[in-house]
Amino acid sequence: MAATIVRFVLNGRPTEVMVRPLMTLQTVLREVLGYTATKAGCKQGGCGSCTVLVNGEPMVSCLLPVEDVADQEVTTLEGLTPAEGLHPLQQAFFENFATQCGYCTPGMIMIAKALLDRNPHPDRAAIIEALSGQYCRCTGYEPIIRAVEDAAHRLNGGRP
Amino acid sequence: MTSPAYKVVGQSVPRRDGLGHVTGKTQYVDDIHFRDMLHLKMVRSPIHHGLIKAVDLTEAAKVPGFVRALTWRDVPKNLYTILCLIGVGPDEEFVLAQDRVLWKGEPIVAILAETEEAAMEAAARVRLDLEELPAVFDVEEALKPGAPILKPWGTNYFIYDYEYGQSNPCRKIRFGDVEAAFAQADYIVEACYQTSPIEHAPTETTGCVVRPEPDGRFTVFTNTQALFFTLDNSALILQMPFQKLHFVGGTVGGGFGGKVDVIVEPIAILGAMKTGRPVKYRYTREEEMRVSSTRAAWRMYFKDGVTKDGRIIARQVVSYHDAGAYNRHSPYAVTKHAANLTGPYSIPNVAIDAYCVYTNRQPSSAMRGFGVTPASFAIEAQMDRIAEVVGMDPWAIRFRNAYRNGDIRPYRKRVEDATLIEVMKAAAELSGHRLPDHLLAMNSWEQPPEAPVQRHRPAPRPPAERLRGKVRGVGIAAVNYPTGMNLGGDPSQALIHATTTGNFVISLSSTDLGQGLKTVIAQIGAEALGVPFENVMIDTADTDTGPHCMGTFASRATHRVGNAVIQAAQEARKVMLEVAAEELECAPEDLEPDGKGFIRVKGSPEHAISIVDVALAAHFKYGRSISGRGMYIKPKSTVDPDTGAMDPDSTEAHACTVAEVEVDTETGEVTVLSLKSAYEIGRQVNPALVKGQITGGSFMGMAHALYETTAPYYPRPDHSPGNFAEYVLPGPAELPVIESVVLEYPSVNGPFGVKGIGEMTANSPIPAIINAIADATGVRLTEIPATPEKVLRALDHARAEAGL
Repeated sequence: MAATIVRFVLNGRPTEVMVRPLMTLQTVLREVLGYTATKAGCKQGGCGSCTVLVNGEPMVSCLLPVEDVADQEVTTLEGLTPAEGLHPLQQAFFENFATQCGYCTPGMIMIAKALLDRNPHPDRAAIIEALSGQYCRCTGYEPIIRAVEDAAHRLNGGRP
Repeated sequence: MTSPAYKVVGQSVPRRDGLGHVTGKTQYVDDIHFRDMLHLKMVRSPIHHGLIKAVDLTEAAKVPGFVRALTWRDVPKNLYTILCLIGVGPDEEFVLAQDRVLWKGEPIVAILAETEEAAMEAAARVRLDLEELPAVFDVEEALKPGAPILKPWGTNYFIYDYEYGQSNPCRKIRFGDVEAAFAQADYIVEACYQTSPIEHAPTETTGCVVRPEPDGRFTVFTNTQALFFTLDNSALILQMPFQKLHFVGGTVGGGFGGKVDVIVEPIAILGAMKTGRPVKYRYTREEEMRVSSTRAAWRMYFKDGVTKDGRIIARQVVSYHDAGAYNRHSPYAVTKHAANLTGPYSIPNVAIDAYCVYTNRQPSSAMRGFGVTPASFAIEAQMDRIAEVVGMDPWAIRFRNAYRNGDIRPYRKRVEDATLIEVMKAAAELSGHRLPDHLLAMNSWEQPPEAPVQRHRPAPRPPAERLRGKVRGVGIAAVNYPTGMNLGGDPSQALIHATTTGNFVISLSSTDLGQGLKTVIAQIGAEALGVPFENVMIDTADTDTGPHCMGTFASRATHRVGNAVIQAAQEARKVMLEVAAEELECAPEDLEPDGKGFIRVKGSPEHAISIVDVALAAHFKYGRSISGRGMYIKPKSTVDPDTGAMDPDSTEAHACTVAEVEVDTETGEVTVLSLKSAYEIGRQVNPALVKGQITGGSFMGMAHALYETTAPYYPRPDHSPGNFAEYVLPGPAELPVIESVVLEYPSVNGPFGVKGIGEMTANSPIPAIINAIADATGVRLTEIPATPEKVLRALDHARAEAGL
């Protein structure tokens, strides 16, 4: 099958890529475009390390054919990072020691972003539910839950 | 306890790599791409044991994008064993299988192709003609006459002590006279404990990228935990000069011991040699689960002699480690295991036989707690069993038998940093358990009183109350953990130099697995130099620029590398103060760095010079190099083949966990409500990172205790998990309350008194949970994981016995 051109909006920028059929968004991001914040922990849809937002919805990019995001808006962790400093979620993860090896971190932050966009005042149960598809072997999740709580607090105008 | 006025050590400074992690800018091996890079995929054995009759590459070579295949004929020294570097032999594993396969997943042919998909497609089209042979999957079956023999030397066990002219089927420890002591004992307490193979399951899979360089060398970007160890083994396998290899790493997306094997690098380098192109070889998740080494399964037969007043006077253990098909790190694990089978208790008569057994399973190797995790599970479950037999309280039995400073351990090492009693007191307090005064009066520096310890054991609730509905229980476990592994020698080096920017660069070849080595080493360096944390740069890990380090394993990195850094810092600091003294026209001994970027005259702090000015003056005015060399080595220890006498470690850290669980006796499901632990780890360089280890390790321990196994659920051994849906792990919804306190009793030989914490944190939660299930239900489980099925079967058995 012939390669096709797919156009989508990546982190606010119109983007055009030539892809083979069924190439995943993950492969396009990491290997074609060099956006490596999106990780590849399993390529089976089982770890959440490749989570990105498509029109604000969290998706595992390893199972998503890039044709499916044609004309859609894709946000990766690179798109969340401001020109200077950090997004409140990033700041909260950093200050709460919510990373160890760091490999799950991009997916964790993206899922938390999707949660907080929808529910600015999540309780602990809502955070746990949001994180349930994300895998972390190092932290035992507790520091990550606390970082999301802290980020919600900051985004709502609270002090860290 | 001392509390010196350190400036950086003891502070929870943020992680050095934290900003990279939260922005996704940290570069892992898989993030490295080269335009002309090839992908390597392996053709693997689909059977557990068999002969290779023929390999046909015809169809594979027709796949578009296929570049070439590698077979055993391409590997210069195809037979190897990784611990040959510390004298373990003989060679017994093939890089690529030649005429026989010993496990399902064994690599046979490597395929190099233009894309990952093409490599997979070509690998799938390689035709193997195999003749299946009988396989053995159980350690004791493997040792029976008639079992298929897997090793060319004619046994299914590793032969110990051949270097001493002996041929022993197991690692032996002999101390005192167990038979005489059994005769004197009031009770004999026997049990068999079994653990499961466990997958490390790092979020980042094992992998490397190799790039041929124009000068004929090869740059190897890798997530190995041990750069030089992997470099040396790769050079030996490829029969190339060591200097041709340049390893770059230090950023690892989770290790847990799974990235100490030397598996992906040699064959990827060979691929780059044969094609002249960069090669990426990265495990898929399925390979990470089904192919990469596991934590070993162990079977341990305990027999203890105990007196009426609760003293354990004899212990005999026969232990079988399932190495799977090949050595990897298993022979060493068995020795470490054998040395630690009395745990943190003084037992005067001990006989241990620990076997390293080969089966047709996926090879096992190092994992967090290496040989000690199963020992701790068995020992602590056994302590509660003994307490029950003797009629004592679980706390009292442990206080009575805890080792004291000055005691001799069975492997003839004098206890010099025991703090078990102290952590037990702290854990009791944290969990709200009031200990009786006579236990509170004990400490690790005084022998227990001769008088029998009071029992305090309340009568158990009747079975009808413990075996119906949802029941709760509390369990405890207390453990020790040794730092380092110096049966092969255990050195690390560090170099420090100042640049004219006022920065101090620490050059290492050590790796950060995520535990935070880059951060704690910068703290130790800053403290020892007397300069700000921000001015210390860590250059890890590169075998061209960093001096040798054994690697990150055995809870050794902060201890060994930290000591090397302190020595290097002292040398550099001396030059820095001498140059500052010239500039300030005073004697060096009158100066002290303030830790804020200035060197000041003692008693006259307004007379000061900045470290930048000192660095500039040293370079441009005095022609001096502000630099230092650091080395730490724990000399290699031998092992006495007859007694097991050895000096395998540097110091012992301690922990006690109190677990509270709820057991649903209808479903067998266990919910861990809380894990409350006290640790004593010498010195905390960074308390937040220590807490991270404890919280993460507690959760991993809970996962090991209740969920994890790569062993197939039903007897057929070819159904092992290949993804996160099949490999059962708890998630955030299962997270219990995790609390901890940390005590500091500095070790004599650690940097600023550090002992180490990396591995031990998963150890005490496991038996604490198993003991809590027993407290709740009266049912003592001897096998982990305690899955709902196992718990329910045990409960059904107990209900039948109780007539319920």
